[in-house]
Amino acid sequence: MGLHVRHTFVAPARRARIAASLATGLGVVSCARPPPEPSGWVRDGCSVQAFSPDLRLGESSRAPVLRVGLPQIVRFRPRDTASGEDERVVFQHVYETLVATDCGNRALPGLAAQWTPSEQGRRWDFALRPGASFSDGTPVDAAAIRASWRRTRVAGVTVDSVVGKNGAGGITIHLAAPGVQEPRAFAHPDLSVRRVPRGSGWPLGTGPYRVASASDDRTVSLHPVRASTEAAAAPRLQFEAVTASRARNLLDLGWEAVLTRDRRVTQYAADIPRLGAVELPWDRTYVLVVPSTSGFGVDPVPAGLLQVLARDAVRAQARPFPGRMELGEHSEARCRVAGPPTVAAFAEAAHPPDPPAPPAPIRRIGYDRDDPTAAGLAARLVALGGGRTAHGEDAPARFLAKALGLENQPDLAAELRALPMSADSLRRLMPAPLGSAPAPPGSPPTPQISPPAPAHAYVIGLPTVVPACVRIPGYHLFPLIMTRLTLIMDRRLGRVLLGPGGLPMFANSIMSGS
Amino acid sequence: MSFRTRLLSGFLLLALLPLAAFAVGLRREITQRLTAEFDRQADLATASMEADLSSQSRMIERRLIALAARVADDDRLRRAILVGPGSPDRAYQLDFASAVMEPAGLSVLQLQDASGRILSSGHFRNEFDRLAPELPDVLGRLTGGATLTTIRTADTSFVALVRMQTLRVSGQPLVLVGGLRVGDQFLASLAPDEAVTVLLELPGAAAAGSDPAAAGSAEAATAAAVTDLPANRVVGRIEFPFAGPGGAEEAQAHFVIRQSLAALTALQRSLSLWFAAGSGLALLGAMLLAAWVSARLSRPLEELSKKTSRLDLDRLDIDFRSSRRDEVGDLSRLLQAMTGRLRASASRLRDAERQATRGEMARQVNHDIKNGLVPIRNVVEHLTQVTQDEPEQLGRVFADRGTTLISGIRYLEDLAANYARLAPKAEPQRIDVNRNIGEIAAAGNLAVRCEVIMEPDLPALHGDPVAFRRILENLISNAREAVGEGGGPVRVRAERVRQDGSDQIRISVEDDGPGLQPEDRDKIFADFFTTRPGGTGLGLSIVRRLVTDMGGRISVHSEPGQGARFTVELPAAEHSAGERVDRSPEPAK
Repeated sequence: MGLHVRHTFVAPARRARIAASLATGLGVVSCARPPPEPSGWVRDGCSVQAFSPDLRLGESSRAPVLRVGLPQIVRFRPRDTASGEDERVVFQHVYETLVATDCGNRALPGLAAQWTPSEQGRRWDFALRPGASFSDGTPVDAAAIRASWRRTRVAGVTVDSVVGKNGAGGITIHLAAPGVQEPRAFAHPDLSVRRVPRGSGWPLGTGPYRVASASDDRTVSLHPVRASTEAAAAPRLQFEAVTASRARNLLDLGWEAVLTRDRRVTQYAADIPRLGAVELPWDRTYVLVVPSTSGFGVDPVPAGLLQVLARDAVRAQARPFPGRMELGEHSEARCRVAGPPTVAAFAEAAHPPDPPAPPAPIRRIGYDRDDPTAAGLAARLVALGGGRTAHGEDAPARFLAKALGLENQPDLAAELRALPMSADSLRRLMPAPLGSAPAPPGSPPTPQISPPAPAHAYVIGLPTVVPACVRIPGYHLFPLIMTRLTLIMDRRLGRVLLGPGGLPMFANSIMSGS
Repeated sequence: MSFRTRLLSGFLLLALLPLAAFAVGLRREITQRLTAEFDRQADLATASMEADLSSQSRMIERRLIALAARVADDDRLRRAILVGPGSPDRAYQLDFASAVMEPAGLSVLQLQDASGRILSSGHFRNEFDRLAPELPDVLGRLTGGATLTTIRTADTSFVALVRMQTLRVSGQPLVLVGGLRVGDQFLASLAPDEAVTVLLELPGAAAAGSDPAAAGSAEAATAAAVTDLPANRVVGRIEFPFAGPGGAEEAQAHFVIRQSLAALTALQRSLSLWFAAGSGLALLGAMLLAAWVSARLSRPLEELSKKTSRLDLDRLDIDFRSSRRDEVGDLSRLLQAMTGRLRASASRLRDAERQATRGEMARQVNHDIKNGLVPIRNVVEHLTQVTQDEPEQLGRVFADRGTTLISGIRYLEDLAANYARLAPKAEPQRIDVNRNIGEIAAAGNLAVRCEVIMEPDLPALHGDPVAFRRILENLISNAREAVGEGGGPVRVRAERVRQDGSDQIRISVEDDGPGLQPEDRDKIFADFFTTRPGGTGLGLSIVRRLVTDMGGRISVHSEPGQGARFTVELPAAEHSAGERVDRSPEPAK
């Protein structure tokens, strides 16, 4: 008999309530060593609590509308999955998975209140939350889950069948070998349960909110689901993806919260008394993706280059990527969830056995034109890759020349350019696991990749753990810098929960009376 | 070629030749003046461009001087430069050039230290710390202080006109390099008008080919497109210093001034079009004028021709009188006189004809009487002989030969009656045509059934009513004899027609008889011509004379086997008060 693990959780009526209780009682990994917070705010486990002598929670009230500014890169489109973690700030209010995770990547009851694995992780019996239904009132059953996952492909989680069990709310999921050993595998965002309405429009979810309107791909409004017992008191949520300058305008206009990666916005908010800022976990790593046919060797990225990139090249809250060894046990543990060891995979990617084609110099570095951090990195790499020595240090230039196949070719190095691309174009050009929705922390790695044409290099932002877990034959990934979001909040917004990946959840935020 | 055609052609030549000469000459003169004006504008454009380039260079210099003062006054920037990469104001330093470049109206700006290290770049923010001493070196050597160079950014390259300004911050020498992008907009601003296109030629095709972006791909494409246009010409080239990428490769670039001849061509085309339109209108006018003039000249001749064509011995009443005092009037009067002479000659001819006829008639009378008297004489001599020889047989012989005697006498009586008709006594008066025709048709003594169609209210005739009745009776009698006993009917039609400005009464008598042979039609009205045995050949001859005496004419239309139609046209009488109208016709004799 194989290992049989039984996880049983008793689900409260609302997940937020559980998260709040866990926030005070559980230790978390990524949240356990938070950086110093600005005065007036404390981060307590998976919640951020205002620390203000003027705030009395017992007298607080809730804002009718909670307005949140998001980074410029965010796009809202009616599709099956969110393409970036910043968008999940919005969608985690609408769509649920069978199993949820907290900010420490620990499994919590989600759409399912209980689960029991068997047959060495190939069979999972779930008991759905009582009254689980879509936002239009349609009950959730095995057929709905099956339909929701019909076109979903999550590496390491190969669903053979989803069948209902005797009794209300019981379903059984059979997985192909080798199955999964931890319930967190069912927390992958691509396995969220949703129902596509007839015609066009946003899929319906089972979360406490529904998409009420989306005037364009920059603005979306969420309304509480009326069936919710707390719907009457829950605020409506309004999200808008904004540039750094507009983020400052929104703060001046009294918006309740802004999520930003731009240091200038944070510095601006520091001068406004009503606002406080909380730095969230390092959640995004920017990597240089280079075809191995460019002639790259095995040189590590010079530390000086990483320092310069993090300090000067971007305006984001950034730090140099610490290197794979510094990912340590935590990252390896994540990558072991349903796949090969992280370090082994990365090492294999760094040493392709046989380059498929002769080395070809890289002349363009593509980046998402809506991602200012990627734009800054690409521009700095272009400046350094021009074959000129900067400030007496030629290690960065040498590294880039070698990585991009431009050694001994000064003319080609002078032609190196950054190439702004739309997010969709970048997604189409990139290898499959990078072009698809990046996996969140705790997701299994995706080993299967179809190599693209080695024409360009790219600077892209990925969830922090991915560069250590992903393997791309024919491509090298050079982690450069890590960035994180800063949550700037109105001090009257008493408490904000942190969900998966440390992203804030505004559903149960408390607004103090003014 | 007709007279009118000749007139028309002559007028056209007369109008077109001077017009064409005027148009060609005027167009040539205008074209020369326009070309000269375009040449003058091209010279002005070249001079203006040189002045504009110099002005742009001075403007860059002024802006760099102002920015240098701002750098010196900026304490955060000063601290960042002095402290170096570890300064807390590092980001401010890196963003400084970006922040001030566009407000200063520049598209290139970078701050460099004495070693050429870029401290802050406005056009390529992340180029900081790169060593680029070449461009300041080149700018320091230039006399005019400005040069063209290729500026590199993160995602593109462009050509810029740059200058340099030195300054000192805390004793540390710094360099501000700034300039303007030499793109389509810049080049277009140099052009004084839309007809002038300014292109930039960078030194060496290799430079442009090796890096199209660096050479200004938009400008290169524009140059190629413009060169392909045949209506463009190079009117000037302005030489300007050029430093290659990074300030290396000092050489000379050229601003090429091309002038579009499209406006000139369009003007010339428009001019030609207007000349063509004017010539066309003039040609049309000339044609209309020539047509009118030639028609005015030839119309009297045509009228004379028409009148002359109607002239006939039976129609000598054509009026050629004219009040014109030109050659046409003279010709008309000559024709009028000739017509008068013809009438006199015709009258004499008729008199001679009458005399001849009388002689002929006398001989015919003599012959006829002799013919009539011969049987009578024979009978009388026979009777005399019988009286002398066999008196008892006289009664029987008389009875036998009496018939011959009576027949001869009747012949003579008929002969006398016919000859009596040859000399009718004319008694002109107004004749009611319808009434006379109606009475003749209703009388029944012609022994033929007549179908009469008469136009109501026909005007009266002026003439001898007896002659008129004889005309009708003879024609109807002739038709009756043509159709034979029991044949018919004979159709009589009377109507009014308008000819030559006067009313005419047209009376036609038509039968369904055997018709006339073609050779008989011309002789049918001759005296003593007859197609019937025993006929005198005088009936239709008398009718023709009676018609002619009444001022009318008679014609016959007949085909063998298809009957015959005799048509008499008589002039209607002009109404005059108190004139007697014949309403009680005399019986025909």
